[in-house]
Amino acid sequence: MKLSPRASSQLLAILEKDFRVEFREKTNLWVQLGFTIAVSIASAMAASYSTRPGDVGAATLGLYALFLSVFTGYSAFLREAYGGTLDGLRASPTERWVIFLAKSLLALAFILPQILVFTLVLKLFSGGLEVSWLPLLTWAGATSVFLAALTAFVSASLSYGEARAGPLLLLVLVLSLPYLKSSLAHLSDILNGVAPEAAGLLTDWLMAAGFSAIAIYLSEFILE
Amino acid sequence: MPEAILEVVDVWKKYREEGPWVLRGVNLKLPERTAVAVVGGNGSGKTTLLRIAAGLLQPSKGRVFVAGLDPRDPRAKPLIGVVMHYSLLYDQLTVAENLEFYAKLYGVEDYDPNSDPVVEALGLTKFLERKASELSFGWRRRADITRALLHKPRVLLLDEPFTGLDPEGVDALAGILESHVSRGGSLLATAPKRGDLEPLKPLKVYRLRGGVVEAEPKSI
Repeated sequence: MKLSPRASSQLLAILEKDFRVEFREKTNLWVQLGFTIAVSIASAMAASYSTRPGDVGAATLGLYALFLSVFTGYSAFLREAYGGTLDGLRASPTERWVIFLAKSLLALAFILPQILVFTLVLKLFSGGLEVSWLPLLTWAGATSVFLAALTAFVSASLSYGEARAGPLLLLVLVLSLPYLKSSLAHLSDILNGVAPEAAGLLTDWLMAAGFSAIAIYLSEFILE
Repeated sequence: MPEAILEVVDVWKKYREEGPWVLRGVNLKLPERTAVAVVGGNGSGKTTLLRIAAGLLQPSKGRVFVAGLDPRDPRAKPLIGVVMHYSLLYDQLTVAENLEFYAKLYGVEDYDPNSDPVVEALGLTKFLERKASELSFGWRRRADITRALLHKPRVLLLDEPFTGLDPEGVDALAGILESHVSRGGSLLATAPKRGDLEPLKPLKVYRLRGGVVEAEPKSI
């Protein structure tokens, strides 16, 4: 696995194509953004009644991140599998891990901004949240990388199954629980104005990077 | 006898462990500079055979070689062009964007759809700026064929290539495929009936029935 100039050019071509496809389906994008804002406002209202609003914010953001992963998983591989175009990618001389990396980066480009929008709206409408932005951005980066790799991995694994979209939610949930269990505790601290331990955030990043590396390696076999 | 560019050796395929065999010991050789047809009814395994030859499916048993390489080997893929009965174009992109995208994947430098002779021969020029989803089946088919040819493959794998084309399109495609073979390329085309591939003459024909190749190659 080496990102040669040829592989880089194929990676960029797939990303450019995917962004074009996504941005031409504007309705989907607006619905997704609207839903993010709506859930975030609802979450902020619930948080404002709590003595620990950060806990409520962390719980709803964790749930919403799971939803985002499932939604983005459909864009990653399943839509291409349903449409037949995945065969065009696989028939081309593009290495399988390059296709996987491109899909993971696409997922990251959708998950990260929405997590940030969610947090921003949550802060605006809840009133009581004392957000430290640097730890929050560190957390959001790690979690987005993890969820992007996870959703691309699950989506790729299901691309050739008969059930396809059915088990997506379940698989995302099962595989993300160990990460989210520790990661959401750090988010809760951040949203409650408590400085999280640097070691905790570093662990989030290590888990995210480790999972991504394993997923990229396994993609060579999944997309066989 | 020219060397075989594509060789299918005792290929068996079933999709599920307990499922039926879709292909049962298929042997087939595609010599260079030759057009070969595989005919067979619905469910006879034609598409499965093409997908295996294109490296999109792994055979349960047996081997396939494209210029001596496994078709799933990235070095073999630029040698293959494939047109399936379903389109490999993105609905949301224009025909030109689709072609440019695939040109980048195949490393075709400075590809310009406006100067692609296949685009012109198939009459696609006026549709280059139209989204793939806006094309009729026949025009989309033409765009798919252009996509499969843009990297100048040595082997073309065509699933029912003339389906959906009007007589003008059939003539244009037959001319392009003839020129592909005369330039040293090979092609393997499938259809339900021999008559469907008549524009590709001369051909050798394999008949696929129930996953088994029944007849020896012969001219039509």
